[in-house]
Amino acid sequence: MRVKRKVGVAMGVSLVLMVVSAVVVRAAPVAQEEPVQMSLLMAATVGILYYLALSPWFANLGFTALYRPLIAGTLVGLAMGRLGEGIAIGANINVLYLGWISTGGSLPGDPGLAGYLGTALALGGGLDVEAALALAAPLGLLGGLTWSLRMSVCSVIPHRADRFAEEGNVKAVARSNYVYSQPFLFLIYAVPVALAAYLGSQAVGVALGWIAQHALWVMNGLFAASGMLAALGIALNLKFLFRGHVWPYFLIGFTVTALMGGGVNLLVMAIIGACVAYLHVLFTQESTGVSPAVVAEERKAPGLLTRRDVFRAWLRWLFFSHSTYNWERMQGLGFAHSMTPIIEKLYQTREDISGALKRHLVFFNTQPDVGGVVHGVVIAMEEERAAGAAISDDAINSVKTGLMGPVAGIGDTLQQGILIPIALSIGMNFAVDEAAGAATRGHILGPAFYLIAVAAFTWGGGWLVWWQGYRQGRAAVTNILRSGTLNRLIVGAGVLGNFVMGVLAVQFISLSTPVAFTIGGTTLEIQAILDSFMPNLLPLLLVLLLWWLLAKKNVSPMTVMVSVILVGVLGSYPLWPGVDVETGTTIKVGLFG
Amino acid sequence: MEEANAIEELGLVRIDDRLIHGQVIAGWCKHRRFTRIVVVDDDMAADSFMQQVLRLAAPPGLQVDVLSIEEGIRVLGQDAPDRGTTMVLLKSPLAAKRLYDGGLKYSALNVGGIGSAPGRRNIFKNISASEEEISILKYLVDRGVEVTILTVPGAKSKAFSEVVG
Repeated sequence: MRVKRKVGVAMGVSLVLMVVSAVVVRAAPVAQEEPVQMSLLMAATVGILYYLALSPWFANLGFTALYRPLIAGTLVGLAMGRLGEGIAIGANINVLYLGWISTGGSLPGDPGLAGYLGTALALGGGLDVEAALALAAPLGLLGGLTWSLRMSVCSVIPHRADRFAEEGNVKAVARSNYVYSQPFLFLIYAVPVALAAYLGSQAVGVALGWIAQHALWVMNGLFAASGMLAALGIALNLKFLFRGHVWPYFLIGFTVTALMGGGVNLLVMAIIGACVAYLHVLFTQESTGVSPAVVAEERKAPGLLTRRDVFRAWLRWLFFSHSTYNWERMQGLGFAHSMTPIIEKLYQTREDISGALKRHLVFFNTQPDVGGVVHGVVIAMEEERAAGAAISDDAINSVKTGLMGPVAGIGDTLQQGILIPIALSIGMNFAVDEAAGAATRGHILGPAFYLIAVAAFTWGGGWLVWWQGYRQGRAAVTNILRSGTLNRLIVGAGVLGNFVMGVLAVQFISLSTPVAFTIGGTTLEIQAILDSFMPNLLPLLLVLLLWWLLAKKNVSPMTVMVSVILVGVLGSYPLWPGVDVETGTTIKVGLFG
Repeated sequence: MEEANAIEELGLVRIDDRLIHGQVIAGWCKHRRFTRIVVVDDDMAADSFMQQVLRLAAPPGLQVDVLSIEEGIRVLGQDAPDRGTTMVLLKSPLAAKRLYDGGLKYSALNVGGIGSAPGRRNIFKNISASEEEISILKYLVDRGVEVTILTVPGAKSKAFSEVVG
């Protein structure tokens, strides 16, 4: 088949690229540190940080950035005086949530809770960086509880806003979007997490102390379980990435990194991955498939609004789109809030103002960045209506309800499906590159890279589509969706994603065995035999096994997670024959080491 | 002559007033292999702009058709090709009933999302429905249709009859 040959050429070129530019950096040993004494102030900070991650105060970087374990670990590390360790713990926890996607208000698991509480407990309890994931993973499952509570309770608030809308009170509608919900959210997010961080780290400390004295093998088990859980995070991604002809890029990324001993030059790998993706797209995507953007029938704005008005509306959406997110109307109140500067400018009589507020207080839900194009279109329609055009409530409503879904689909694909996982992968790479942060282990460059990438998309891209929506009206939507670059981007991202997952799989999955058999005086070390086949063979087999279970056998991620922790910990019970490295005598060892 | 095989079930019949969006693309289409999405809605079938938007919003490789209810009943019938990999998207319970009564019998109905609106009350998480819509869903349950509330594969699902006793 033609396509296959082209893929083959692309992969051949990329392999040559990689071999030529291979740079080997060896890992530095990590010094173990004492646990941090968790103070009340530190615990309170951790709780507040978790609230902030779910709050509207960071211009949409809360949920997209602060909520991710990589950033969470960094902030907790900073608060507890262990920045480097915090970054590394955050990166390790984040592996599990790389493929985590929240769509349309459904939120399985809680990366933020795993990140904030997991890092705090690991640092406060004195748990090692590489063992922290086994502790954080179960914590992430608890987060779903508060989510449902939040979504239900916040459903009450828009009804209050309805009353203000009836009175035509624009300011009060705006206020009701962020004043009522936030104290409640602070209460349900910050307080329990602060308490859990304070009491939990003592509990973890005591438990680890007991384990160290009485059952050291459990400690090994936590290391083994954490190393194996990373494989689950990667396998969850592969479930989506192993589609079409691009799966070999995963193996290329993996084997090249394994050959280089795991410590690869991150910048080189990122550039190679991007080149490979570009070549793949070049060789496989038909260039004729790009349909040119429709030349927008340049809308003639009546001139009632200035660029500044449109920008002020965008700012309100950027910050407060989700501050009263709820089951009943989702972002309905957020939408109305964003329209308040426009309504104030366009309408003067109480009837008009009240009507406009009520019009925009209804159910609305979209992806906040790309979805902003809908707001742009709606602002344009409101402006024309105020200028006297016959635009009915129904017309405005049907634009909103018709477009919010489709643009959310594209937005989720771009942001949650491509940008966040790839930027996180590269950020995590930076974060745990031992060479970059030899002394402190974690490197600040990692979280910083991620933050910049997400801010560029959220702020830059968000404003761009919002403004285009206003300028071009409905045509902007088809133009954004049509541009052929979108499909090429999605295909290229699939290649880069596979490649990066291969690199990450080597760096984050750790699985080896100390089991050795002594037969007639000769010692057969299983790991040495495996290594002679191929370095990192066990991690590769593990990740493929988990992928097979998830994708082919439809085993739920939860079941896999629990099984992996059980196998990791129980399998570490010293039951198997091994050899003492120093004395050379036969001893009992666990399966993993 | 060979005995005719049992009619292949439609891949998914889903009520979702946002039609093609993140849950459908990142959720359903990534977990199940659909080849075709058929949006059945009278308003959409008459709106060429929205049809264009829906086609462009679908992931590459998926055929998107927008049909009126009448066309839907005709086109999706038992002879339709690839029924098993077809996802039918509807905006409301009323559309589901009109399809069913029109002769397009399906055995399972997925309620994915119905936003609040005047006259509707919230019945479960992201699902709102008017009294009329609730009785329509009950009507379908009574006829043996398995009505399930589920946003995306892997999320917790709930039988409709559990939600409204």
